[in-house]
Amino acid sequence: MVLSKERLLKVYEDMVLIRRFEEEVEKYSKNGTIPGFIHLGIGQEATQAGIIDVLLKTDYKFPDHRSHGAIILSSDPKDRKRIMAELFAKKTGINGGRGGSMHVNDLDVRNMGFNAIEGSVVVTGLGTAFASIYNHTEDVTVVFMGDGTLGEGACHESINMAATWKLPLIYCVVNNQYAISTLFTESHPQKQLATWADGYCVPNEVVDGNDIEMVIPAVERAVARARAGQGPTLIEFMTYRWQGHFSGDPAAYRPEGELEHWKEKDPIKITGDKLLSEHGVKETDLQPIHARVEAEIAEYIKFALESPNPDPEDAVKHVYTDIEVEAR
Amino acid sequence: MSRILTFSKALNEALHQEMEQDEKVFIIGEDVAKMGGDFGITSGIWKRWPKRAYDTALSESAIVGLSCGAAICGLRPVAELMFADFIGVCYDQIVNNAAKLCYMYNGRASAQLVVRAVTGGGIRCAYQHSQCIEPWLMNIPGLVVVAPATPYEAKGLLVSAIRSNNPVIFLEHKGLYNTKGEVPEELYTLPLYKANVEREGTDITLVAGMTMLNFAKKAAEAIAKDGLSCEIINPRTLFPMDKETIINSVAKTGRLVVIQEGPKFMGYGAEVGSMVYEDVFEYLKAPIRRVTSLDTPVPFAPVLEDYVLPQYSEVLKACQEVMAF
Amino acid sequence: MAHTLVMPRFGATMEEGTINSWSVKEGDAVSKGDVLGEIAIEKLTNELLAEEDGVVLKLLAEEGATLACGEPILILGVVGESLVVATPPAPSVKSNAVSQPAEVGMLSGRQGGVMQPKVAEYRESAQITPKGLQLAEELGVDYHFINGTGRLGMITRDDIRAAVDAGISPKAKSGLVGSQIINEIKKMSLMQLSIASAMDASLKSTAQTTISMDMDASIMVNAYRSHKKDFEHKNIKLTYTAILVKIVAAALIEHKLLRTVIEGANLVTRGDINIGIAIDVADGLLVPNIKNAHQKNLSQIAAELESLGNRAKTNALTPDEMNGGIFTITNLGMFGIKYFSPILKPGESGILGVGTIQDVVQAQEGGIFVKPVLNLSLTHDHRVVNGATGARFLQAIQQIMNGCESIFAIQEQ
Repeated sequence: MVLSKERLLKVYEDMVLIRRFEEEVEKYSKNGTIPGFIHLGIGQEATQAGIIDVLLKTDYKFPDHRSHGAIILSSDPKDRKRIMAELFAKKTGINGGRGGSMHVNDLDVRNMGFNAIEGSVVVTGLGTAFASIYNHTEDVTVVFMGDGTLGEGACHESINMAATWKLPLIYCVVNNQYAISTLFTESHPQKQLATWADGYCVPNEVVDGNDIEMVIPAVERAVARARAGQGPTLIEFMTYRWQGHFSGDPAAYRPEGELEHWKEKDPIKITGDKLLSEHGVKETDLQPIHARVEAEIAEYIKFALESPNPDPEDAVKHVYTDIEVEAR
Repeated sequence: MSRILTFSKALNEALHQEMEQDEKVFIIGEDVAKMGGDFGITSGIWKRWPKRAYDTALSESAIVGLSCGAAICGLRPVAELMFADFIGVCYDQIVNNAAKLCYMYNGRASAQLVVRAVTGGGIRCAYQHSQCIEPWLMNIPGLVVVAPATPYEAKGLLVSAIRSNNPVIFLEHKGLYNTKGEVPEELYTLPLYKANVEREGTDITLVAGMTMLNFAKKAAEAIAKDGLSCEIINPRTLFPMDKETIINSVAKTGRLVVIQEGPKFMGYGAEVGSMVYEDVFEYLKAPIRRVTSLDTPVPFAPVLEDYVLPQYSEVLKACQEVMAF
Repeated sequence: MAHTLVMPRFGATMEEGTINSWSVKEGDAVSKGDVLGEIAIEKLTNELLAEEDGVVLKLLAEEGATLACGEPILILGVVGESLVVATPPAPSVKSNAVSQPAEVGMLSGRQGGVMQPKVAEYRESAQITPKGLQLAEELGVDYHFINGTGRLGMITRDDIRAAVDAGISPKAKSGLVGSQIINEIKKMSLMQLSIASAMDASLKSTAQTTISMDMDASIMVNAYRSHKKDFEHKNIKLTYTAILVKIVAAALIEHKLLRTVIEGANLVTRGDINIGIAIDVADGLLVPNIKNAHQKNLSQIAAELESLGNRAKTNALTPDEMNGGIFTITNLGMFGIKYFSPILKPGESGILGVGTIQDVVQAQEGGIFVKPVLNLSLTHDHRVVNGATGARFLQAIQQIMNGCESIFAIQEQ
């Protein structure tokens, strides 16, 4: 028992919200409503919910392409339906429909958004961390990365600089084993990717990414170090994605039985079981949580479906801050 | 009051004066702090503001990435790219990140940064220290590419670049660093997106920036003796282009010669030409001409490099051709 | 309630899928998560899963069929339900580019119908684009009457077309039939004023009169034809005018009165034989002169003549070139003119009008010959040069012309 019952119930609800969000998104992607790519994080809820639970609104968060969960949880509850609308390419989307699933950002809550070039946010994160020092604030920066991301040169440049300058930057390597089809052990020499940080003198640890009671303490440790000016930390969260890389990827590259094995380590089930066995919560106590989540999700979907499309001419706005680009 | 400074000193002065009055400005790059920059452009800054001048490892991607993140937080980074050729290493951060930040944030934040890049050939430093990179940047909506030609422009345009909320790639041609010119002592700006008519004329429009401006001026003097009058346009901001000034000039003269360093194919002149053909075709009295480098990498031996770079004689020849058409 | 499954979109770029196999048949009961079939997209195979419990009421496509994403493929429901194939709500993210209807009419600025032609004002300084000028000439329109809406106020092709549509008629090329003649008021240019005043002064202040003679040009023409190529090889354009300059200059050496003028109570004979050439330019006439033509060879004269001619057209002549002439040659031969009475340039006592060179049938010593004949008209100031003097001058020209072979030798520079 690491977390209090209240906190555990809270993060349980967070994870259920993420799970249902992702399931609905999958459905609307498959029926053609949601255009473009979708990368689902079903199975990785504990990592996302745990990290966001520890951070403050004023901390800088750089989600990756598989972070709808982190994006939802870090946003203001009243804005969450606008995130669904953004995925649905609607005008009411939080970015006016111009970004979609991979590019939801909201500076009000310091969700810095994702740049689809892997490794890009890992160097941009240096800047927000640097700004904390320059502006004398205690805000930390968290960057979501995958096992695949670690191949990019930018990551090496980033950790080198962050470590040298002791920037308040936390590298959250969400290791779900596969980049797209490449197992991480086939593309990196380390048995655990966290040890890569040793070469840069950066403290690091490996945690079970599906056990939120392991995730949260690790993040708290890293955040405390960062706020105290002790520099960067790298945390490797071991987890697994249930879907393929993108919705529609049958993930035939994964061996038989692997998915089933990880489904038994369903982070929501693990937390649910803990609530039932360690905190005396009853199944019936969890019903209202699920009902609440269903209602919320239904509201998001309704809002998204009923929202209008963006005005085409909006496409030419905000290329520059001070001059207009010609429309048609 | 006439005060003569070198191009380098003018840039240095711009940085010092602007940093005096805006504490959000900081410099970052390789050897920019303690050494004052490989070309000395940032000298003296670290001494005055040790917490606003940062030497980095050889990490161009991190330098520009950090600048983007810092810019979103309201700071104004001035990063140095020791040689413009190195932009390949941070090209992703420039074109996929900085250029698109304002667009991705729906205008709520932008990459208000400057990347000062030392550009151009003529110093016998061969393939990866001599290129003109503006064509690699001008096709990227969201970027601003600025290229001063004189010390006066260097100071005024750099201050404007720092104050701009858009990502500015500030091209400093190394062949201009030691050139001298009048520079006012006070802090001043020159407008971005506006070309300068260096000389008025009626027979031929010459468009030329950076070191090529000198070619244009020399050519204009030479052919004035034959009774011909050239109008010279110095773009100052290469991208976004001041189309109106160029188009109005060509409407007046009916003849255009673009003089640019760097390969001809898809170079700066290609866009100027296309634009002119599209907008003022009926005003043309002759086809346009471009005077450019050859389409090769830049070699080391002086006779080889000089052969590759644009030739002054080609400028005269181009003027004669457009007159004789 | 029956629920229709459609061909799912597995992935952003999928447009159609093939049903590899069905795992169920009509009538089978299924639970949520059961595999209904296999769908292949290029190399990937995906399982189609039941999203809820139900009974397979109808398979809408056969194994092996390829359908576009969104097309119905299976109906799931309750036994006994009616099978209305409910098409799912049209995905609201189909292409929603509503293109604006094209502008009706191509050139919306045109005015239809007949308009009263305006008496437009003639603008001497009207500027026109090169292509506009081409079009104006094609259509026979005088662009000076047209307003320009192009850059810098220039007249464009569109302006020409609009004007023509609005009723400004082409100016007639030849006569008056069927055309509109407009009164024109145009301010005189400096050159025009200067010419007018000079002609006026010339006629008022001298006693000028004209005599003419047909020159036998056979020797000159032969020499010209045989030597022309030599000059071309030296990049020199040789003209009859150049030859005449040389001949006239030579004649003037002896015939001093033709280079003598009255100044006050004196007769002043000028020693610099600077021969002026009348050159037709857009606005009127320019008369630059070739200095000391008697001392120059034909190549030099021809080259100078060409240069003066070019620069006259671009208004690039110098004051020195314009001043100091003592005798003028004016050539209307290219227009077919034979005899005319040119007006003296103020300050000169003679001007030679050159007409055409024509082949003429002549009777000579009982034989019939065809000879090239050049008509020359000499206007002279009778106060200084009387008729006989003038006639003798013309004879001298003929004589020199007969011996002109020698002047054609190309001098090596």
